[in-house]
Amino acid sequence: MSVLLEVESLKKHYVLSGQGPSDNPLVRWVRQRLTSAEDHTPVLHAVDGVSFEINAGESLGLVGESGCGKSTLVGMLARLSDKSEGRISFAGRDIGEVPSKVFHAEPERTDIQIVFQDPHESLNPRFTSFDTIAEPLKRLKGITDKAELTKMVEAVAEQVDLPKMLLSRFPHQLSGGQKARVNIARAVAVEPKLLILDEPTSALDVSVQAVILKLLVRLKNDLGMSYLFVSHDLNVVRLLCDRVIVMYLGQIVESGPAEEIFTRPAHPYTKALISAIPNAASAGNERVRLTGDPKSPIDPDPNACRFHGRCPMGEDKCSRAAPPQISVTADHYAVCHFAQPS
Amino acid sequence: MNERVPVLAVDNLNVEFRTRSGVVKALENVSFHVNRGEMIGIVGESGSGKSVSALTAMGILDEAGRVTQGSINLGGLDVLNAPERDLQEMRGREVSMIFQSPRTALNPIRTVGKQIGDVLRRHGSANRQNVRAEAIKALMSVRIPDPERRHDAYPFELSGGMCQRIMIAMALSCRPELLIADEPTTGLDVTTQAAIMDLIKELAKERNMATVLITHDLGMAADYCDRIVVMHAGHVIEQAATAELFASPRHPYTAKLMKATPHGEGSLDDIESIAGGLPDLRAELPPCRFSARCERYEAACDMPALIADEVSPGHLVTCRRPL
Amino acid sequence: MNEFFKHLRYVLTENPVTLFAGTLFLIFVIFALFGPLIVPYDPLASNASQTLKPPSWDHWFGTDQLGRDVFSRVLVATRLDLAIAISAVAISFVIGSVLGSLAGFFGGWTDKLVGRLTDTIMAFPLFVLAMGIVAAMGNTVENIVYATAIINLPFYARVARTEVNVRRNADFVLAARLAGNSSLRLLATHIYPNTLPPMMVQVSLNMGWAILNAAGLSFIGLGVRPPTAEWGIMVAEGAGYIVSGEWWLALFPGAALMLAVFCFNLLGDGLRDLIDPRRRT
Repeated sequence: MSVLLEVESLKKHYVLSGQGPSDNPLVRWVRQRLTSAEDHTPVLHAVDGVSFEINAGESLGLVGESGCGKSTLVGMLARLSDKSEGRISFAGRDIGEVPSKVFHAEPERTDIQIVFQDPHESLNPRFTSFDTIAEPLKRLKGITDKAELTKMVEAVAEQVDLPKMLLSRFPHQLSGGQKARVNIARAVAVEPKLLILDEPTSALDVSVQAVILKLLVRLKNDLGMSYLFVSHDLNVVRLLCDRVIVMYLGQIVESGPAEEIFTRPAHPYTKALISAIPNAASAGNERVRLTGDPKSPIDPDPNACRFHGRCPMGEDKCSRAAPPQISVTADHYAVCHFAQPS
Repeated sequence: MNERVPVLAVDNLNVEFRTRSGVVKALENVSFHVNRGEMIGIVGESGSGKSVSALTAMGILDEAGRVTQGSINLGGLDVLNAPERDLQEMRGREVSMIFQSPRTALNPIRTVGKQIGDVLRRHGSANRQNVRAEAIKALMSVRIPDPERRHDAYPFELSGGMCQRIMIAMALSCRPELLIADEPTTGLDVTTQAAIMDLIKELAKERNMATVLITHDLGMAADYCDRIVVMHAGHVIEQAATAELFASPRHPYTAKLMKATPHGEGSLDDIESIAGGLPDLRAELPPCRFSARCERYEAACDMPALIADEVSPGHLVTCRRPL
Repeated sequence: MNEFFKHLRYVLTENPVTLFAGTLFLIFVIFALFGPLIVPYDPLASNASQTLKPPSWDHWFGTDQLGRDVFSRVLVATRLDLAIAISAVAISFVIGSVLGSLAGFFGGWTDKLVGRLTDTIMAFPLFVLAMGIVAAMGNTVENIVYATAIINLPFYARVARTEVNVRRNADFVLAARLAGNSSLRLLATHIYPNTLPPMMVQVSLNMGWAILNAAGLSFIGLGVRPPTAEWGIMVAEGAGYIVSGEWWLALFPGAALMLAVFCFNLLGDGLRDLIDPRRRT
């Protein structure tokens, strides 16, 4: 299998200039004269050294809780925001070097698309479904001929089972499921190689969720796309993904084949995530529960496990040394002092 | 109070909403009850009438809403005919409610400890001297670590899960008989969600309190509730003890809902969506509001006067052709 | 276009206040367009035998000190007053919203520059600033328009800045970026049109204000000069006669002024609904 996307030590740091010592040079100068304390501006480590790859035709699940850096990571991969450090190579080309502001003119713009979480918020309220689906075709494929455009939009609409009569409607005239289809249609209209799905079903009712998930699987097979499936709904991730990576506070803590992650999780955080899934079958079972809140992503201690403090199995060494990456099996690793190769 | 008398009994409730485009028949013949120490789940998709049922039970229905039939008995009080003064007395003392998005429910410019203190003093369980100590006790009761420090924190300094704990502390501060939790964990992370639900379950057990959990997540209801009430388009279509409901769902909608929910094992082929959508509640509706989406539909389903059938003790199904 | 009129009808029938304001607006527009054709007397023709006559069947609003028909003058003045207000608001809307949008979208030094500019304008008492501008640039109708436009600029810039800023990273904007739009196109085709409905409320409120402002300048003797029919001058000229009992000279132009301001203030919500596709059913 060929590697489509390769991410290496990717980092996104935000310098919180407003929250540290003032960045006014005069104030700084006075401070330096008055105190011996060294100037330090706090840095938020949103994504902190993430490496992984996505193969052609593969579905990779990205799991983690709010604030773990999923969205920041997705923004960088889709070239909507710039990285701080690291490499993003797409089909062999380092696209991380292209500033996000001018990326719209790159050929890879067509290849990486996103379906956003909220089907309503991600549609322009002044655009009809037709306008929304036609836009990427116009901008990225350069199709200006009206008849051809209409033909293509209708073809895409059919592909996502969106009735033709809904093409002239505005977002507020569509149901949640229909809006989800318009969003998917826009993203697949230019036939991307990598489709990033950011919680595509979390805003939908259960009764439509299954159709949308099945639609996504069918599209993936028809168009030969790779998926990066971002979700906190582990049941859904399990249904759709070949491989899963689990993020915690800006770092990957576990990565491996989906079935293995779900049946034999090696990291205590993954275990807690899985046991937190509400489930009729698991009612009454013994659960791994986390206490407290995650640590702050601002200036994290480089010599400690970021999960320490919430971890049910934390020991003294967890607060003194960053955990190593331990291979559990050939393609399954966990970043934890307690992980064991099997 | 007698253990047999339910804390909340809703009987044959009809609720309508007047809108510019017609009258929405939001609830029809809704009946359910909660016993002391019991946790029931009201499950349904958006627009099924779960929240309206709860708000009506609290006597805080929106102005546009109107109860056209039925009765609600809450701890011996006839909610629909009681004067507003009695209702206010009841809310807080007999029944409390927690909502989703706890952060917006808290006053952003007052410390959380003060806000808990306000509630405690209003209900007379604390006075000026001991209010701080009592508020810290309340924080402790919802397992907030370091309650002394958190007492003086502002809502924005706390995580969503922490804010929901504070809402729970406030809701339970006057020891209500009944807690209504309306999607209490929507928008929270899975691990936080589990912790909050565990807490609610634990506190309910400790105080022998009745709890109504309103949720769209069948898995969560199954996980925590003793009994489940399934709603669809303003009807209660089935209610039964959790284990029984999952072992043998009798209403086609319940069965379909279970099939539509991903549940860990199995593949995508095992889950199925439900065809069609909710009917327009402003239109003329058939006796069974699921009939248009139902595969088991036949002419007999259109006969009027569809009522809930007790297929086995405690298991009620509102369907002419149950599974 | 047919769609638009259907929507217009819906918005008008939806809210009686909008219908009322819309009707009033239509009447003003008719007067502005056809005023000189429908008035019974020449608004500039003086008649020495008919000075300071109270309202009667011949002269509905009475006559002024030169025997001119007040009704004709009030009606004819509509064109000039509306023209000043509309052109002033149009200029400040276009310039203000473009500046504000750029500031809200790009932030950084663009934002700082626009912010300083609007703060500077806002720092003056606005009417005094307008007086100063007209006095400095010359006493013409055009300069009244420019002065009114300049003092209204900050309001549009501020509203546009906020409205653009809150949408800058909205999901639909990110999605449009993925669809291959450049930053400027994103701003022009996706963000800016969505700021129009809230801006419309501002436009309508400002319109009334601009009329008052233009009349105010004329009242103190700047801008429009006699014998031109203009509500502000007419009120100014008539004010002196109120003490001697000839109240109609100032009352009727004043009432027209008030009605126009009232009409535009009421029109705001309707205008917003008209331009917002979400209100279409």
